[in-house]
Amino acid sequence: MQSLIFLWICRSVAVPPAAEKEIHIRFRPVFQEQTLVLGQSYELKGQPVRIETLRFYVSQIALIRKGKTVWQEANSYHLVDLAEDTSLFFGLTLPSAIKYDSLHFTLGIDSLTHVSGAMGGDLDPSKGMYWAWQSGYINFKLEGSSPLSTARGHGFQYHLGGYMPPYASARSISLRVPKAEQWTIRVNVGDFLAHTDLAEAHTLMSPGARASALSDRAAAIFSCDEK
Amino acid sequence: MKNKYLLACLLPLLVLVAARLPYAPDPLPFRYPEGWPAPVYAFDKNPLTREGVALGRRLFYDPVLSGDSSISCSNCHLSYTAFTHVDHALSHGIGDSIGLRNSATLVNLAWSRSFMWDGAANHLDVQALAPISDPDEMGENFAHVVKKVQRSRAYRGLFYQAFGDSNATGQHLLQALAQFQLTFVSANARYDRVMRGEAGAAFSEQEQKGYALFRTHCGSCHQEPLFTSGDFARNGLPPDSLLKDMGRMRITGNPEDSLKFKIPTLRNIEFSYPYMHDGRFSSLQQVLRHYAQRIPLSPDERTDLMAFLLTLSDKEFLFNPNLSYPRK
Repeated sequence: MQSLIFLWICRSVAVPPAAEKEIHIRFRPVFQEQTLVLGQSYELKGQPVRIETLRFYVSQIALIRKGKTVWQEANSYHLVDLAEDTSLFFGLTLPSAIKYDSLHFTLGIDSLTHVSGAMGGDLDPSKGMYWAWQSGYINFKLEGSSPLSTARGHGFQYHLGGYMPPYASARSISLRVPKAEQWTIRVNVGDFLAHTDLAEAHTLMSPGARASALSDRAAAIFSCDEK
Repeated sequence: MKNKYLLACLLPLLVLVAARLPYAPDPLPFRYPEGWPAPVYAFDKNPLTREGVALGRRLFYDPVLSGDSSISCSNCHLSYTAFTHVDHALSHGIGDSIGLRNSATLVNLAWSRSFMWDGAANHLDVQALAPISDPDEMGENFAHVVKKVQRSRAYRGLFYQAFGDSNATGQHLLQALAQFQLTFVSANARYDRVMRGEAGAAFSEQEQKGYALFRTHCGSCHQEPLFTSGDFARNGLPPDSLLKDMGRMRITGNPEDSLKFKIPTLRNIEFSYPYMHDGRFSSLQQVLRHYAQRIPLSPDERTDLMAFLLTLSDKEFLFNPNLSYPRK
């Protein structure tokens, strides 16, 4: 008991009050090795391709150390939109003593939030990321055009969502992160399209098996440089 | 003269004070009859207030919600007819477009676990997005609705009073609409007064017989006191070859849900014609004839059942001045 009190006194004297530090997350959409710019032409399977919209939800941000959650962001919902520069970059305020090796987040919106009525902020249904005909958020939205698409106007539209089993489409992503104060997360849209047959599947706007499979693919295009 | 001077001095001050009225909405308790199940709606996330309900009422009756500002929610959900669209098998939207279904009655929504005939909406707050965005209904983009409402000076004040934020958001707009609709509580039909044992309230012999028949044959789906279990069911109607409406399966993708539709409440059924999801029956007699194919009901029994169904009409609800068009 006495040693416990001694330890407690040592702790209170030695450790200054928990200070905070800020870490910045920056999402960097790319098309393979090139920075992705909306409306600009890139090459896909020998054909040009343009991206008009890239928007997705990042939620439930947490930090992990040796497989255990050491920190969770409160009210963690971020709409990332390539058309809005400020949405690509945000800070996390952490206790400065915290140690971690990985960043964890959900690509999309959890099912509880899905059934809890009208939300505000980035979750406001007027943000263009909520289906109207059927309740549910669009977790990931990618739109553009390429001669590879057999749709009218050669467009393609992927609106990935759905929260009901067996086709829940929010995906957990874990990335090892560097000890730096800024983490850059690459979002390689080229990789998503390279594995998609635009002649066969160019339009997807409802939940189901296809949305679920494409959500796996979308989750795989996020990576973090550890340097 | 002196008074006039004083007034001139005070006036700007009064305006300033008025502009900075504190945000203090008046809580409105949600009342429902004793013995009813607890409401499903999470009132803690969107507490009813006098100001919130008033704003929702104004929005419900405002055609600004539609693409060409021609129709409001009330076009298909008229208070005097149990908040449905009478006389039209399939409800029509802007530009004379015809929808897929007969508009649902809006009543006792605080107890609903899902909304629309196929349960497409999982929460009352977000239900309104469907008719607003459907090109055959209000044909409008929700983000644009919010912008139009933000531009209105009158709405700025109403949103501030209701939510403490004069700038309308999608969330607050939907929550206000939900608040108004939550007040659509029908619990004062003659049936209710008989059940409560109120003095002078009684069923006739025919109604009593009808009630017994109802409990035997209809009550498991049309559960009392809400007269719906809230579930989805296939009731033997052959699908319409033009509409090809698969009902609940459209949402779940599960073949077991094919041709299942939400079990509607029977409250105020006298006023909510035509019947069924596609409005194919214009009278209750037709409805009962349909069910008589599977449920053994003699013509006399059908008449008794009909007499009982008419005791579910709640005139106090239908003609409640607080629910109709908000006259200033």
